[in-house]
Amino acid sequence: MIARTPHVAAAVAASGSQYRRMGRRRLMVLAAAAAALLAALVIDVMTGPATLSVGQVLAAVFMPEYVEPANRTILWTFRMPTALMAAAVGAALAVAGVQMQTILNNPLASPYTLGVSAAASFGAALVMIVPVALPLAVTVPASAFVFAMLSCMAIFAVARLRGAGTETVVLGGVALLFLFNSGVALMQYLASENQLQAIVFWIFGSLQGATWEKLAVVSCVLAASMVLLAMSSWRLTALRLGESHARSLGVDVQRLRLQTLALVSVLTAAAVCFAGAIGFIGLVAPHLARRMVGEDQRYLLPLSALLGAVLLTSASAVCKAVLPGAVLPVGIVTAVLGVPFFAAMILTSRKSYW
Amino acid sequence: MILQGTNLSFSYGAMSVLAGVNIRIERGITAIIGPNAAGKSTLLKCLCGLLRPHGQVTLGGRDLRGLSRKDVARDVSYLPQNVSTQAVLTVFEALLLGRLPTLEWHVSDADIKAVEGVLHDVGLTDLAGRGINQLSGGQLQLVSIAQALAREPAVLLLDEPTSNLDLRHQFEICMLMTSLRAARDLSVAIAVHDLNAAARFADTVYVLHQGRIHGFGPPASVLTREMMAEVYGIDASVTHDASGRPMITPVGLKADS
Repeated sequence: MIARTPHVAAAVAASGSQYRRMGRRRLMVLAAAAAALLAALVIDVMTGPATLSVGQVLAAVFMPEYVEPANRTILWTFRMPTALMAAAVGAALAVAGVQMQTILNNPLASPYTLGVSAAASFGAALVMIVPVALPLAVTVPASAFVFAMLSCMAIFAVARLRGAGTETVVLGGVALLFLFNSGVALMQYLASENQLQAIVFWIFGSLQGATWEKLAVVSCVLAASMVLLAMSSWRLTALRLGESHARSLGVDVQRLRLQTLALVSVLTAAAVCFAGAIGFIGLVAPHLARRMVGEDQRYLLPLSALLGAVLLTSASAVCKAVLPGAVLPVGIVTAVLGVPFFAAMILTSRKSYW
Repeated sequence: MILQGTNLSFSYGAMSVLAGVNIRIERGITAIIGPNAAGKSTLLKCLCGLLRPHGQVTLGGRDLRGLSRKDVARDVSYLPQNVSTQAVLTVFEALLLGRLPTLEWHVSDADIKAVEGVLHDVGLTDLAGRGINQLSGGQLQLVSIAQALAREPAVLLLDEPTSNLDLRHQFEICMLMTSLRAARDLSVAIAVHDLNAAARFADTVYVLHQGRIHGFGPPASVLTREMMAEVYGIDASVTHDASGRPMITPVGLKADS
């Protein structure tokens, strides 16, 4: 290495400490997002036909034996699983979105835009109108899961084709979106009035059927995927430099893509099979997170998850508060609030983020 | 460390790109020259294991096929021609990613120090905190070279590293390579179009023509009027400076080409 005077050495070291400072700032952003999630969860739990105070919520969580039974039931049986489900599903969709964008090198990639949500909707609609011996509470999520996995496997198969670029994969996903959307339209056409209502409600996404068991499934899949994805953090970050660049850095790009896609498939299927086709979270949360902490997956992955959770939990609170006595489908709220927000983010951004 | 290719052949489908190429990259600077589509980029990709050619590539005497991608990446740094600018990364982070084969979850002080050192050597310290999507083409090129260096490789393969740079930066890169060769015991191979830069800075020049090695050796023995006519189809005057380095001035197209 070239010899340096002490003066130069000090100037040189500044770039390293600048990098360390940036790391600390990003941790602060993560902490702030975690705090925002806690606040959003409390607000979501407070909101509903019977508005509860912060004190009542905290008391029910930490000292349930001192809370009156009615409130305890409302909180523990209905509101808490719903709120936590919103957080888990939001996080899952955001994580799936950020990794789809990464491995496909496309800013439009998300579980919704690649047709995975549409496939789940089709699966759900199918068992709603085709009579099956099992109860709908079982068959709807099961069929939604199967179809979501099928669509992911189709995307996966396209990705494995020799010479298939990321554009081919994205176009394949868009084709699936149209295919399953027309499938859903067909189901709606064939459905009775009651069935039609159920299908429409499911398509817009809903968290109202949440239970502790469903929550456990989504949370476990989410936690496992995040751990596995975190192990590839640096390689996924390097992938954003371009495929040939990543390969020259020693990354087995094809393998990393397929592994990540497999993980993201299970994660998406688990999220949409219980909550329906909730759009936008998987698209907007990753972009917002990337804007705040950049591309480094050690921060981008957890922040996307946190922001996805915050967004869906807040949307869940809003959809209970808009019409007294009624719960709007949460998918409508995420789109209505999300689109202007997203447009503002793109239009006000001076730097190019993709 | 010596990177050697023996009898390398490669084709994209039915199109043969390399045919029976022998090349030896050893300590110092090896320039690979040749017209467009001569196979320069393909040769570099074969040498670093990104493409699997027929024939044998050895790194320090070991067959490349027996080494993992990560092992190769640790010793051989290859800089591709095009670099994506879409990523939301600072210059410092981009250089850190150059050390990918050794990066842990927590970035070590050794990694930080290595990046700081390279930033200084390449003269990029002032840009350390800048986003790479805000850089000019030339700055980005410098960042890519710095990234390849950040790995502290034994062999550095550069595919047209000076193509986006102005004259001063071109010169700086070449000087940098010369000083690094001395300081770091580096074997460098550069695919390059600028023949006079090759003449000035390379120890050995390989001429690639239609997938074959047309000739190789010290610049003065390779960069000749005859070679210019046969390989490039150009009439050129070749003069020599005081140290015997050739200088090529194109005069016109060769009459029968």
